Amino acid sequence: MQRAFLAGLVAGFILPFVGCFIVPKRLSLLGDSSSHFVLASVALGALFGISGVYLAYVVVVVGVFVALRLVRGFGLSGDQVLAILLSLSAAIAAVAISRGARVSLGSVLFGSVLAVSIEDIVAGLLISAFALIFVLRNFGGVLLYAVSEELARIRGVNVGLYEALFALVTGLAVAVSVRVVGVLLVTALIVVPVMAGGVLVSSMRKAILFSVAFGEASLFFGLLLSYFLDISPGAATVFVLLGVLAISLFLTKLGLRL
Amino acid sequence: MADPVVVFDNVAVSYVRGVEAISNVSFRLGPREVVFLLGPNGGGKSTILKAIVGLVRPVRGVVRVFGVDVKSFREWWRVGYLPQNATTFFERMPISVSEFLRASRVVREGLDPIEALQLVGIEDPEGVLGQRIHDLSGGNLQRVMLAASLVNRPELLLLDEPTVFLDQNGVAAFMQLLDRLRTEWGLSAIIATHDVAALSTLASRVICINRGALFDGSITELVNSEQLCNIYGFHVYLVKHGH
Repeated sequence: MQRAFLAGLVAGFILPFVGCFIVPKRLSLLGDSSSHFVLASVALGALFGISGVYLAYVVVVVGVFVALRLVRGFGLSGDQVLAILLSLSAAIAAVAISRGARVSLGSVLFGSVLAVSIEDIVAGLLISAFALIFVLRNFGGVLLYAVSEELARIRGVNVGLYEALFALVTGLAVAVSVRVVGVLLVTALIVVPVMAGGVLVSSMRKAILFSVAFGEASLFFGLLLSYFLDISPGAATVFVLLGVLAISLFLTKLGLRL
Repeated sequence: MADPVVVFDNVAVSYVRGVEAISNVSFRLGPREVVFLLGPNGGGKSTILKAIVGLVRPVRGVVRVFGVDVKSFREWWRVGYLPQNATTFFERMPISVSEFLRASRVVREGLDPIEALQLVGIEDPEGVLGQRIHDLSGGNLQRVMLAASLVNRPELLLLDEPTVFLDQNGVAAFMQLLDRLRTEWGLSAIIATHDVAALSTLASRVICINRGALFDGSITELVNSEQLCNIYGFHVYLVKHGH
């Protein structure tokens, strides 16, 4: 259970943290698409007898990078590109499974905190530390990159480098977190805390703080709920997240702005 | 003669193979010169500004900024740029005015956020600083975008439709500000607009664009020529006020 809480702590930080930059870029479904890459990687790994976990790290990072390049280079909208990649990864997974790959679909789709290894937690901590330090040291550039690549470029921001790092951090964060909350619930942790935090506050710094706090609190109470009610931890977390979002929206309607 | 700030030499830009958004456009912008780009929608005004900041690459010709080919130009803090529809960038984003102005400032000698807001005529700059950009009125939002383009004390300012959301007083104050910065900072500016009314005596020069450069001269010459009629399809007359 200790390991489960530690894994939840890491996922509760890194997913809302990257979500603060994914959602404004109108790539909210990036988590969904990239977590389907994990499913495809696990299925391919099982088919060819290689570690699906390590394959997932590479495939997801490359997948996110390709998605960003398609949006920027071909003028396609984010939802079009993400729908294409989501279909592609689901198709690859279906082919691998139909060819005899044995995949524990339940744990891939809904997560299995008890199956999380110490290596996964260390990897998550390293990614979180890297992302936090990079954003703190380059806050202005990251902010402009999130607002508009045009504005960022003419302020001297190396947009190509930021794009590569964005893909790297997002991809690795998703690959690690899928083990905790599952393919289907990664998007919830990327999008819902950011929405709940974003509507309440007037600055990006506060939005990051609130989103991460909501993510952590939801995972903590979600894990507790799952333990006492004997339900899936991912599902319990989503119920808590949606409760937090409902309260935030209600407070916004009352005119609260922090 | 002083070195030109911008040189456009026979430039063509194409977004779709075989269709040129601008063709064979040539002009020079001198120091402290303010040029208005005038033309209809889709005429290529924004494309010219984007080519100057390197956001689009010419298929022919050369663009030079401060004497350097734009492909190798790196001193972007010397250029302030206000893109068209910049106000839409902040939809659904919880970014404060303070955060945006601090992020836009990349040189130590730049203006601090309060100075920048005062410069563009924002009343109560301290109050506005902590506000979420998307919560601002259209006029204040446009002023904040202008402040962000001025925050590094640029030598060249490129503005795409800067007078949208501004009322007549706002437009007049904006023109006075440009005139002041031209004198105090030695600012040169290119302003893309189809707001013919916004052109004032400040517009020492007007370039009419409709895929190619149709006219390059003073506003008086422009009004006396047939070019405005050719571009807009109706006659435009210059009305001189007594104040």
